[in-house]
Amino acid sequence: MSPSPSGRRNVRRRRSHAFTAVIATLGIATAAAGGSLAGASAASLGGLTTTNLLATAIAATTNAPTVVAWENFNGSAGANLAGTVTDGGAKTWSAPRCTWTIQANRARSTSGDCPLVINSGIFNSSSEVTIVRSGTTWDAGLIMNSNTAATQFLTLEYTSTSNGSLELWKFNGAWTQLGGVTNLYPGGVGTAPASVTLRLASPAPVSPATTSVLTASLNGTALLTATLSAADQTLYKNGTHTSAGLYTFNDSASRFDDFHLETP
Amino acid sequence: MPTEDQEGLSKDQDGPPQTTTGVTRVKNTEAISSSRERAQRPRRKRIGFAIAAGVAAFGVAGASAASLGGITSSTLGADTGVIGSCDTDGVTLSYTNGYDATLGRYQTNSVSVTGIAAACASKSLSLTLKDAAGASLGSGTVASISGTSATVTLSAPGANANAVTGAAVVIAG
Repeated sequence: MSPSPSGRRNVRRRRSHAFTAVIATLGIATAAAGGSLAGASAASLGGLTTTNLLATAIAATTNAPTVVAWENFNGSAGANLAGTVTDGGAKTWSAPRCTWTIQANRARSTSGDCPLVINSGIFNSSSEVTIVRSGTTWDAGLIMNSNTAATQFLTLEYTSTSNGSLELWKFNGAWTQLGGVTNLYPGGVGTAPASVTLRLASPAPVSPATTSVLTASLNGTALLTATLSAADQTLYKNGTHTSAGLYTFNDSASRFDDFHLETP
Repeated sequence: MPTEDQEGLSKDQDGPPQTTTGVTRVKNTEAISSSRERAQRPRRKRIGFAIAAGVAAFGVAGASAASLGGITSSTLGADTGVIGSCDTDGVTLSYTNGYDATLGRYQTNSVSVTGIAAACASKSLSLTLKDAAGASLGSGTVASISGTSATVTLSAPGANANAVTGAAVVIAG
């Protein structure tokens, strides 16, 4: 038996009333809850103290040099370094007229006047190395702007002469000193630290082109500068003089560690 | 007057027809049944909502009274306040880099923040260095700014100096 149309309408009304009542109940409950929260905030906080805030994003450039090649000389004792590849930068070591080997994870030459170089492909650069002296007589340092045969080059040498010295030299068949500083250790070379960090910067010439300056630093402090003449710039600052590395002069005892070459 | 049962009976009467010839009729029956169920859904939904809402209302009221044992109003509050900036003209950063022989590159070990307004003194400063993709390369904090500058020492081993393209600085307190 089917209900009449009016009967169906009544049923719908009752359901609608019930639904409305439930919604109303919910509304009251919600309002009551809201009233409780509002009361708590007023009672407990008593207002906020004004704070200060600075948040900012800044473009940043550290101006740090870019390392072109680096080498820690870690390896088997006695291993020949010539022909090996640097730890970073994928440059190959070359020892044109002598032998360099690893000893206690450091590099050492077996004779004097001994370069160990990589061809970096750049002639405006800086290089740095840690030198560990042995005894009280030493002459060891860095070579830069060298041709591949190491017959034309610049050197920075850390020596034990005159109570410890830094010397800048150029070589082109004969030696010419570009500059020097002495008496690094007034108390005698025996007071020199066991190791030092030596750095030679050979940056790009600035205008005018005659003002190309070499800077030598010891343990992070610039102690010596020398200006390359226009003729020297022509000779050493070019695409055929892009080798750099380690150098010893009358010294086969000093040890070298943590070499890196970078730009600028 | 028709009742709920009568309406239900009516639905039943409108329901599946008698099957007389197999597969075709079964398909037709399903189609009719499905169509009617769709027509009845709105009404059933309203009923369902009403029931659910009622249960929810009474259920919540009952649960709060029975399980919490009452709410202490002093444990919660909310308010609004004005957040001001102690420095409105920005700061300047400079970097201390050092060669890391293990990594074979330069690392930024600390950052000097200068040009901090005097009003920011004694507040904390946090700094993060980030790369071009916005990823953090290193960060550090100064608990209390003294004067108008601060030096932030980054956590070891510092940040890859050549990768730094930006810095985020927050002074708060």
